[in-house]
Amino acid sequence: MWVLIAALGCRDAPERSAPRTEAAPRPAGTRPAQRLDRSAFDRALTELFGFDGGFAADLPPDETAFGFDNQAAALSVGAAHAEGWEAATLAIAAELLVVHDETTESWRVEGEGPGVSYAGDGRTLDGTSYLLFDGSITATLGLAADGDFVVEARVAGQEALGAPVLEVEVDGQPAATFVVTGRDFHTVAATVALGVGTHTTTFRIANPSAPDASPRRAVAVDRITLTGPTAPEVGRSPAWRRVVPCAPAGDPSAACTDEVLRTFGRRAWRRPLTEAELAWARGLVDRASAAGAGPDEALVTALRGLLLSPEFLYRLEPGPDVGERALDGYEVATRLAAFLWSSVPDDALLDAAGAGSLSAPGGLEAEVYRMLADPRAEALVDDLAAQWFDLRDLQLVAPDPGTYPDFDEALRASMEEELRHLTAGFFLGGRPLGSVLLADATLVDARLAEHYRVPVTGAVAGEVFTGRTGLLETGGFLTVHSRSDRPSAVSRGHWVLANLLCAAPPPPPPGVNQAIALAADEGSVRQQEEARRAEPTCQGCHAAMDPIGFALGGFDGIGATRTMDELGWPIDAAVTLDGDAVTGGAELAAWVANDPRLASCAVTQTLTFALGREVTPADAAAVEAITRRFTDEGSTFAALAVAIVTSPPFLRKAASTEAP
Amino acid sequence: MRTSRRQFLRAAGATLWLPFLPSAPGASAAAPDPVRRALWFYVPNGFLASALTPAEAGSRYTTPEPLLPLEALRSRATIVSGLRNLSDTAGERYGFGSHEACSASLLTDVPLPSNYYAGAPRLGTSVDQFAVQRLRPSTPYASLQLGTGEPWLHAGGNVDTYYDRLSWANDTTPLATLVDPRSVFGRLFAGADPAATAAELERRTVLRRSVLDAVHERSTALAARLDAADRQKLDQFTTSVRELEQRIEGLAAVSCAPPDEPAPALAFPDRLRAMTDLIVVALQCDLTRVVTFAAGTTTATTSFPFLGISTDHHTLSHNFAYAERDRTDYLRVQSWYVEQFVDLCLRLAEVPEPGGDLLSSTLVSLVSEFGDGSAHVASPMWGVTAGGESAGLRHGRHLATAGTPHANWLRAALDFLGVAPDGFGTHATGTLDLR
Repeated sequence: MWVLIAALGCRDAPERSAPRTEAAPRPAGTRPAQRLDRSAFDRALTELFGFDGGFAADLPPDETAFGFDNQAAALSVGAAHAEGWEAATLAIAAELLVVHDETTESWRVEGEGPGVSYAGDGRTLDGTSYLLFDGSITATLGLAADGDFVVEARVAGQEALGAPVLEVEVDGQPAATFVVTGRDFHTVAATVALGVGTHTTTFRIANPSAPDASPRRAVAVDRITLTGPTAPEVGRSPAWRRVVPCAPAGDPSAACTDEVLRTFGRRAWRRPLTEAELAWARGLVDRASAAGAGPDEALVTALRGLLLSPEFLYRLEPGPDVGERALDGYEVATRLAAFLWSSVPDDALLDAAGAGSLSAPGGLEAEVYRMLADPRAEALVDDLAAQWFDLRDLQLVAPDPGTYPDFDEALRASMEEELRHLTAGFFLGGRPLGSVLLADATLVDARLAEHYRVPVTGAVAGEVFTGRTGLLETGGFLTVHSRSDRPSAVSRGHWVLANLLCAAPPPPPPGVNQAIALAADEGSVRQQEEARRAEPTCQGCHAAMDPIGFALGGFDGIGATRTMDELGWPIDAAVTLDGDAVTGGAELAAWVANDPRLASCAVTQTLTFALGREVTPADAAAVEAITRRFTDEGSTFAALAVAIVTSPPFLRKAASTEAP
Repeated sequence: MRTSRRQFLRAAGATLWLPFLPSAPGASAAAPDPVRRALWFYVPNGFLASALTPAEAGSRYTTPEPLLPLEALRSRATIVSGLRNLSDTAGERYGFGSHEACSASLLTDVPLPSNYYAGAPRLGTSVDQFAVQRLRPSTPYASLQLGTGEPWLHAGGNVDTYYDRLSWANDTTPLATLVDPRSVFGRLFAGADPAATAAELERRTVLRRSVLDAVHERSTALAARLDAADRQKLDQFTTSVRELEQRIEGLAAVSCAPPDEPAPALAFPDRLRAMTDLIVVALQCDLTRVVTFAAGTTTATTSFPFLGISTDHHTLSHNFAYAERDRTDYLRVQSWYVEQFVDLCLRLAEVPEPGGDLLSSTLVSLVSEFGDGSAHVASPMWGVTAGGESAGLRHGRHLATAGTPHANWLRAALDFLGVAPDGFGTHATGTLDLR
């Protein structure tokens, strides 16, 4: 949480400043080979094969540096990496080679049958069907093929003040609803797209009667069937057909194998393969054939070789030996895809790189706009925003259940949704950076609305006015920056300085009491904290941090509003920041939004992520130019992204002089 | 899709898992030398040496109250006190807290470089890797680095690595810690496929080897075109691939039954337990002989609701000097960690081996980066060494040293493993005698 990007000593801090970064042994503008971080590895494979991810699950956590997971210098490789990478390629190979048959699975619903479970109020009818009042029936179905499947159920209804409505969910997502009329068994059906694996289908009544009503609405279910795939997904998987279009049914010719190696190699290595590299890949096909692999498996083995090569697993930008050089089109495309998609370029971007259109006037701008409009750009929220705004920490906090009995996993999830939505407004929604701090309406669901004490009815999710202002008053932010049993003014203030203004105070000296034990009768929490930190050693930094946190004193450790602190004293949220009188979160947000450091800090953070390296004092001119363009053009993320990808640090690379 | 992928992983390898024979773990029967193993059990945020050190040295010591869980292991454990970590220097240089100086030097005895905030992380070889590189074990895993993934206070800058990497293969290669018990299970027991024929398994192995051979050719071709900084990264890659090749060979020789797969999303105490269960199995099955286990990362903010403690671990480690309640809780937390260590040792002791049990062939060390968490100082350092009686280690005592460099204690593990300790330890003056 301490980001020492522009590590400043604190005002009047005696004899103690943070270690400085100017002693960097590398010149500005270079970074070593950048290993794909977990997110990039997963997304790259998803891009190449169209799978649904999960490939990085068994890789070790990435090293973080400067607040991000993708910093080339820090990312290392240990024994577990080759293993995790190989396991992923073996899993992919297996899925490429599988031949899907049509699947039909059928479950009789009669008591506690295997694969079927019941919840809530219902009962078995004559041992042949199940009568549902307000509970649910869940059937777990295993599929061996991707495609469209028909979910069917045989049902009969019992009406009471209207017909029962039967909801069908597949894997927790609504799939269909049926109005069940008639007391005779009949079949209802819905079509859903499913992939290989295990799925759950759940049937429940959407409009149950009250438990004491008589008669009650009910639905009897006596059979659930899953048939498919109905679309022609039988045979080779879509992944195979995507990668080997010249032999969709398998058994590729030599020419087809060549074509696949060329096309797939270009996608995976983000540049065309040389003839020597193609010969190497072909050689792997031959080696596999000699080891007893058939044509399909031999080809897949060569694809595994391409994926396990450093050219896939690292972003390599060799040279120059001295001075600096411009990156070529493919290298720029690779950086673009890493920055905006946390992935590899798609064919369109590779084509643009090959045609030289990235270096044509307006070429980069056009790509940025195209890429930001693409769904893959959601990676910006998952990675850049999540790391910059520490959204992931929300999963790690553990509020003390004794102090905060209201906190539960549903609330945690709702808080996370709100934070993602708020940051997505800037990264994807075209809103200015200030909106993250100043938004007066956010995505609030019923659980969060209850927490915020704003009237929202039903489970409808949408943007509503919450009476709260932006990030600093979200439940998520406030919860993350609290101790487990009380809010932390220091943590809240420190985060704002470090992550929004790039003015992180240094860590505390040794031996200090970092969490002040509160006395019951010595004034408010704020007064006691101020008194304890009055000594000069503490005051230098805490004078900058604490007032920011005190302005948020009206929120407890899980972000609920409060008027009294934990000792029962009234909250005093009035502070002075750089001579400005500020009271409460809304004024604080306005103060931060008006601070000129906000824009340049946003540039530094985004540039650190985009380059995969530390932003050093040697980049100062570039940061300034990018900041000017960013603020001149409405402070939108698109403006920021364009300014970054057209800047020298993004397009050029200097020689490395670092000795190993 | 995740399910089928995992199922495949377990079906992909070259190993035929046979019914487990507890008395014949791998090489012990065949190898002329006795099997020796080492395990470091790291607890973050310090052991409070002043509260855990008995007043008396030797075997007739009275166990301090917070240390009572150790009584269950008393006859097989030695309390080591009074050690000094002489590589804990960056904190002094910068004048402020130095979790990272103490955690980074804990197993390396290498001080942080003077400008460690800049550039790529660099340190030195840790004791476990020093041993592995000289023993060149034939086990499928040369060593394992395991943890719990508990939250901690990321420092930002380029320094996080010094917080959460205890093991270093060399001065530029910190080793990642695996924190998900299911992922570790998947690693250790991948390749089990009772349905495949021996010929099919052999064919799969040959194909895997072909790919890795080809990948080596790529790195060799590439190395010529890269500068020194890139080559350093590529060296890590090449090593990682080579280790995988060795593992493919090694696993073919192991016969051991996989235990049940750990449940997903375990809460902290259960996750710690699951991981230590896997450590026992890994040692028992001779999948590895060297393990470092981190119960957390320095500055860990682990909470202990199961102990009825609401303050997080890092906060406790600072507050105990100021508030009696926090002091009590801080010591209760340390007692709890000692109990987990003891529990792991007793599980090792339950596994019979020729001439003893798994604990008697394993040197287990309980370590922490601080002797006083509030002051951020490593020394005097406090720890426990248990097991290893097969090499003549004597226990049941309190070994009170007077400022012996902690590297000497680390070197005792090298000595136990049969590795000449020369060259290890920036400040070592010898090897602590545990016999």
